[in-house]
Amino acid sequence: MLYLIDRRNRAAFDSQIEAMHRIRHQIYVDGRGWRALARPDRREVDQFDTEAATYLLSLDGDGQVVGGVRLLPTTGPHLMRDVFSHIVTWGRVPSDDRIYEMTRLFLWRSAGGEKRPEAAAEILCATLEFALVRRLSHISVVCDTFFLPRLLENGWKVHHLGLPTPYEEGSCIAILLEVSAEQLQRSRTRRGITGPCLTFSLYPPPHAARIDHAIAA
Amino acid sequence: MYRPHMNQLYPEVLDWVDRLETLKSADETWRSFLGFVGRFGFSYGAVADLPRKHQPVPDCLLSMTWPDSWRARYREANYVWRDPSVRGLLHTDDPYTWQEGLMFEEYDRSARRIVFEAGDFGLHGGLVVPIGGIQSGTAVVTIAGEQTSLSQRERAELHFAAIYAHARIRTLYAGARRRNEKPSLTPRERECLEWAASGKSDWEIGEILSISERTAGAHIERAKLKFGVATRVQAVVLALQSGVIQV
Repeated sequence: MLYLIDRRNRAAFDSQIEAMHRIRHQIYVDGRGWRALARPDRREVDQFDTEAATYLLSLDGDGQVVGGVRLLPTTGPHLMRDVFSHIVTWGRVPSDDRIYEMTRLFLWRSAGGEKRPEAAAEILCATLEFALVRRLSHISVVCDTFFLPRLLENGWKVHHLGLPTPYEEGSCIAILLEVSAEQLQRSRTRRGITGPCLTFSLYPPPHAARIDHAIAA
Repeated sequence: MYRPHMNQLYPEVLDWVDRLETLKSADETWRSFLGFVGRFGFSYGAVADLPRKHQPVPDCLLSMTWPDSWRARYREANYVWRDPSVRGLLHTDDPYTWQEGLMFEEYDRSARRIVFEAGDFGLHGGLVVPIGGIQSGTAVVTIAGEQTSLSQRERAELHFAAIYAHARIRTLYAGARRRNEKPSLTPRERECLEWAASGKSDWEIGEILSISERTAGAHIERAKLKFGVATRVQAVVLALQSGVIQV
């Protein structure tokens, strides 16, 4: 299950947000070698990790972070506008209150060590659920060009904002993904997901322990 | 409502990608792609899934157009796993020219000769576009012809067009296979699918048939592609319905 975390419920998820920053450092700096993001405290935090950010974090039953994504309103500072505007050559960087940008999508192994094959699909489904509830029209993305075939294979309607552009670690593209209930359905069926992936909770799991605690108190 | 690209001048490659939707067969799509890359000096090429170990290469080809004489030579000399332009796929996810492909490993003369020998058949240069992340593994689009140098911009357009050509051809093949009631499975694919029908995992199937878990998985993936479905359960159901397998 993915938990929606924004400025309203963030305080309760402090330890998960901390874990996310440490995991992101391991993935992007240690794993993918994006040296520009390296920090001595080994927490990957950039200029977009602000109050405006919404995180969808995939938490296991013990509240451990196993994946997640960051969503930013395109009416404010965001990656495509502030860092990657040069790769948008077909039209302008989209900026609209019905468009959010998706960044820092990551998967992490759980305490048991395994990665579930449907975990990535769940993150995308949760993002679509968020987008549908917020009545978004599109999600904008700067991603590795390598990722495009998978989006096409999964039936996403992709609007291109420019040609593949080289960067230090490969080639990237700027795209808009169309938000639709049909796409959510497609993304769910492909991976045998039968229900919602996103939840808005005031507290992280484990819920049972918290309730026991509340009753005891 | 936000409308992307409104009143934008469409670049040619985007026009071409939009027109792809109107093409109804994989063949037609492939010919259109060759027509498009022809403007860049490429007249030959292929779309293929990357073969797994021990898998016959012809099984993996989705579309291809090579000079007959080169194809015969290539097959006869069994070049595929020595060809630096193919081996590059083991090293990068980014497009590379045949020339650049020579730099990924220390190739001996006989391997380097493959690339130069292609020149005798009118294939003076080529571009290899790895297509990654798809469910059945990596695929590749290769184009070749007179062209030997590419600008950054040309390379980006070809990269873009290749991704769409592959996606469309694959979809059309899958559709054709869905309509065709009985895709022909290899004996191994059938065997793996039969064990999958009895609820065995890739690992278990590998143990039963004395093959690796990966190979078992590859057979199942292949069967899924042939049936044009996304999950193994769907493949099992279709295979049972059409009598391709029995349990």
